[in-house]
Amino acid sequence: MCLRDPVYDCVSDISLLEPASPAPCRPVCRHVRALQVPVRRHQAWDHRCQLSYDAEALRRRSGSEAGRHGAYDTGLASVMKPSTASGDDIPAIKPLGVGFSWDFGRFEEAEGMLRGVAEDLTQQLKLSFTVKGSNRLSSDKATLIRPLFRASPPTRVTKTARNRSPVIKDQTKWDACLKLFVGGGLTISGDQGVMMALIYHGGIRTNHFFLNQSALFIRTSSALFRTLHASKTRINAQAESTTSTLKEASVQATTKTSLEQKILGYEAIIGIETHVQLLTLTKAFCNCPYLYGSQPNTTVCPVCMGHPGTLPVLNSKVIEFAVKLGLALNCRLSMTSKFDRKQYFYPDLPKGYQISQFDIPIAIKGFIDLDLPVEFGGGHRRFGITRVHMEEDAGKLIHSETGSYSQVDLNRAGVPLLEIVSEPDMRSGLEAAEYAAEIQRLVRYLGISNGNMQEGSLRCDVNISVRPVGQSKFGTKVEIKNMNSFSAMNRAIDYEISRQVLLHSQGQSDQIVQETRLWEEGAQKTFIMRKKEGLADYRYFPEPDLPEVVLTKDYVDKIQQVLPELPEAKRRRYEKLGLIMQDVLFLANDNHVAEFFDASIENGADAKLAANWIMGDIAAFLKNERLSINEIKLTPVELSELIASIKNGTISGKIGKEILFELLSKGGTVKSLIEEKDLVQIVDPAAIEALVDKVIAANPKQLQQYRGGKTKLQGFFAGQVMKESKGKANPLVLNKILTDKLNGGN
Amino acid sequence: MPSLIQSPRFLLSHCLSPLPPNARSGFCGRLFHRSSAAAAALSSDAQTISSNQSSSYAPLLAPPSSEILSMRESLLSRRRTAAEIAEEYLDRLRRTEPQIRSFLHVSETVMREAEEVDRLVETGAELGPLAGVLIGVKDNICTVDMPSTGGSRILEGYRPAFDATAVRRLKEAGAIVIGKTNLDEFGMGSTTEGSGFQVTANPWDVSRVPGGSSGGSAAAVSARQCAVSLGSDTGGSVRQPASFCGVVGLKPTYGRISRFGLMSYASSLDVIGCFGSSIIDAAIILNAVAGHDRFDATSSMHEVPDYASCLISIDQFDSKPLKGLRIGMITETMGDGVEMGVVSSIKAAALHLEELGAVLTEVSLPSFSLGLPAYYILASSEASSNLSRYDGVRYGKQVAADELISLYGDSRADGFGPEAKMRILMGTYALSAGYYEAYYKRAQQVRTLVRKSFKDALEKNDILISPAAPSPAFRIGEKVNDPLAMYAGDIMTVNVNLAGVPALVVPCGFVEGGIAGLPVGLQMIGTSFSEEKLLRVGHIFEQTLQNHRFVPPLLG
Repeated sequence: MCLRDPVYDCVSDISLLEPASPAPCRPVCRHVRALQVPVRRHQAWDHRCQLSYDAEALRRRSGSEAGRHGAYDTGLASVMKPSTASGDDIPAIKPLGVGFSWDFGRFEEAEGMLRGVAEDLTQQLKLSFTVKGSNRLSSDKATLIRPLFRASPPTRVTKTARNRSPVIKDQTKWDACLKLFVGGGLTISGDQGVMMALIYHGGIRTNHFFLNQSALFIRTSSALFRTLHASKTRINAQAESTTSTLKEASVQATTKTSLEQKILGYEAIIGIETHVQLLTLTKAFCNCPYLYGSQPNTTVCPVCMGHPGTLPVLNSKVIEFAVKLGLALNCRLSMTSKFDRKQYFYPDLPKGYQISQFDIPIAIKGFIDLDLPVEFGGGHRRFGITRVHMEEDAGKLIHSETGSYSQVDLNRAGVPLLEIVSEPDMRSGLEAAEYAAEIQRLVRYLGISNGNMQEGSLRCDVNISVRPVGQSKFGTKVEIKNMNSFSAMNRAIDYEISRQVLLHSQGQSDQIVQETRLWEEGAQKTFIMRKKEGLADYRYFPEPDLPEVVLTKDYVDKIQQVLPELPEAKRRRYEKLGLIMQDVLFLANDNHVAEFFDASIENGADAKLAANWIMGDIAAFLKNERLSINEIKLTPVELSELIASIKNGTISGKIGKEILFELLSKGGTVKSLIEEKDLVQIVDPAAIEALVDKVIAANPKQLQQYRGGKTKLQGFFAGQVMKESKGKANPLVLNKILTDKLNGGN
Repeated sequence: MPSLIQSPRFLLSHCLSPLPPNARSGFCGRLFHRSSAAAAALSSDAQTISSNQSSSYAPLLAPPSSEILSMRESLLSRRRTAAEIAEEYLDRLRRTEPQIRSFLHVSETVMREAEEVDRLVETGAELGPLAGVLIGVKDNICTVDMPSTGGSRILEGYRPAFDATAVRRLKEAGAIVIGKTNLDEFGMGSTTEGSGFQVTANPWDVSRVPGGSSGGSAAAVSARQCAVSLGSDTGGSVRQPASFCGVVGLKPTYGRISRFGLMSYASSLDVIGCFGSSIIDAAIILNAVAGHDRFDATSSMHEVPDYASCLISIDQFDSKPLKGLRIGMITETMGDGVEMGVVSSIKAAALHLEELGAVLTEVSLPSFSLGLPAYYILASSEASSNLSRYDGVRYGKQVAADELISLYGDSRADGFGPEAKMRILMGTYALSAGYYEAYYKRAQQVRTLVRKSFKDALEKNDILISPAAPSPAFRIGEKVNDPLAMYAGDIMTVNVNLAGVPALVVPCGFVEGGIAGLPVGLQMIGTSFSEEKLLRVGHIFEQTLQNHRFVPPLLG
């Protein structure tokens, strides 16, 4: 792998930031300023939209929907405050009043200059250089400018304008033009409010950890608590999830049947965009570490804070992980890929653009195989993967309790992400949730991410449309965000499908509009977050600060060679071992469990028995003790030893269980435990006979009853003998001798 | 008298010839340790030289001597202290600054740092190659202990948390940053009139512009307010002011010097360049700052030769030192729109090169005129993106607002000057959906053409020459109302940036204007990473140029 400058063709080795190296710069705490902006006129605007689904209200507010381009903060919705203001709480930006005239002179000048420049090119190149939509800007100017007027024009601008250049006679005119473009996701085509997306936050507030700690305390401490907690529970999550699936199964099963009835005659089309946060030591373009739950703005440097003069340097691990995932998803890799800038304005985006990949993603056209849970009827599915690309994460906004300001935490800014875009192949919430779960398994198997949804390491945005069965045209697509678990995904999608089907069946399919909706766990419903009007224009262009990444076949081959066995291959192998699907899914679900299982059978353990032990007693122990399988003292070698000892009759199954708990909690070897506690099974018939004799002799009354026809008492005798032998008597031998003795008389 | 003229070169010949090539590290250190004996032997002569040079720029039509080397010589021979030298520069700075206004910030620690150098001299410790050299740094290059504004109000008072790699390397070589020089906002302009703070005057005629955007750096070197300076060149911002101010300006190959710490204007075009009053000084600075940097992924791993030691002094060469050198004069730069005085100066310089043995031909670069519009599209596009980080949230100007949109809008409206706004607008427009193909993509194609035409021309020629600007320095305010005319002034330089090749501007003549005429610079263009060759040719040219003395009348 090497880096190539696309313009100058210079080739250099890839720069490594991954190894621990001195930080490039000193911490820049002194530049993190505290800023608090009171909100007087404006409150969380779009939360009101969420309170009721009101298409008419939506239409009235068109062009002023709040939200954020490309935001994936799942925590966002939960901290958005409902508006308490009444009807006068309108956005500060008012539409252009009637009779207001606007002089576009200077703007046209800029446009004209460009057109002139373009014409120069045309003439000189003798190329057909059509200036596309030369009237477009003029015709759209009104709509472009409109949302930018204020109820009261900004006086500040004129006041402080240092107009030293006589060219610009009207500073405000310029500023208005400028503000147009300031708004990042600028849509030339529409009046979607340009930056209106931004306004619901009222104000923003950057914050350093020692500033206003009290204000932060509740939130950060709870976040911290959650982290600590999460890191523990996460490990169990996998073990638990299987057990809990059973519980959820009933819930889902009921939803499913009702859903199936509801959507009769309709078909849902679902595609998923998944963001996976990578487990690199340092961020994507600087050498800050990232630790979830750190104090705000403590893992930052001038590079990830977007200070002037800083440049990104690619972390080569990001490429390695992307290639790993690309291969695991059966994708075609782009041997030459480049980075692009995706531009929009938002306080959590320090540079004003996100380094991402646009037209040449690192991997395209793959697929993922998965097995649906047996409880839901099972079945194998293959879903297409459209693309995988690399990008950087943004920071986080922390909203104050009062809702009057927000704070910026840039710890997460610059953390590497892989975005996986699926084909619209899924048809139900279950399929979508299973797809996401398979992605999670995959990234955990590959060791490229912890895949934790609660921490936001794995975030899914789902696009859903519904169409009548048989129709080839897709319905209107709605995006859902803010789902913190697979089951939430399942429920959110099923809810959204039924919502859309209902609208369809009532002949109100025109009310399904292209919008982003948030899943509210409390209400078990989706609510509108913002409406999308056309495509936002992110003004992508190739990132000039980063060279292209050129992969070599050698590099890819090396990664291919070290890829672990992936979940799908594991499941197929386990199936071949003769395990039933339920066991297969359980074992392959968690890579640590699978590794444990694999190690056990490598040591000669019987697959079915090993599976039973792991899924039964071991899983129960893990759940009780809140441990993960790689935290226990039992080694796979000992498990296989244990299984072998039972199989060859050295110990009984009952003793085996006792030893297992000993091994789980205290460790040690099966052999030493058996010896130490004298647990070897008694197989010698003479020894057992002696015991039987002893028991029969001690219970003459029962013997009499037995011989009187009450043969059920054999169990009693067996139990007594077992007790006498401290459970060590071989049950088969015991029973045989006991029957003989009881029936034999003498 | 003739011996006096010869002496600096004489010193040089001693220093430079015995050195093996590529003895980069500590080259200057060994240089003068070794030659100090020789210098001492000539002490009477040397004494005269130094007093001659330090006190005034004697009315001799001598080729420019190296400020760095003569200073180093004085330090090592203990004739003068670094503090004395620093004091002299600071005096001159204080005297000329009210007229020139080339500095946005002057360091308060210069004297202390100079005394530090003196202590090192006293202890006999090895001195860095730039020990005690006072260097001006363009204000869009980050310095940790001084404000760095990029000439923009939006960064007023901003102090970076780190030194730019180039500045760090200079400091490691012993240089003292004397201050931050004025520029057009973020490097966008050709006059320094676009600065958010002040307009710098040309030392040759204070009613004229020094050029830009590195006008402050060029004027400061020209007025000897500092020995050397750093600038940045995106579309000619080093070369055009060098031409206007009569100093040497070097725009190295893209990637030769790390951009880390240079506030990005157009990332794929930006390079840090250097100014000096002689070729040797520019070469020594380049030596100190060139090379790969792990903080800049676009910096080159190309080997860094010893630029200073490859220079040949006049007594080392015969009458035809450039024998066989193929020089191409770019036809497109000598025609319409170029002032007669400039054309004749360049033609005279070309003749002079021919006399030195070079073979002169005319070359045509058919894509030359395409470069300007392509440059403005690419530069504005990248600028619109690079400037979006100035949002008033984390640093820099912030206008109190009750909504986020106003915070962004008002902070940027207040902070940016008109030229920056214009370019943000143009760039945003050019990158917008539906326009991208027509503008940005097409401009990139033009860029490929330009690169190719330079490549072809530089296969047939060793170096290409052209004027550095179509006119000499014009009057302050003259072109403010005509941005297109201003942009057209960049025609000579932008193509070089598009191609990424290095170019050197050497003062070559005068045209009428001002009290003592206005300097004209000759631009020499070479293939990528051929700075060594350009400097060598430039040095020969500089030493053999007769009857010109590029010291502004201000200092007379």
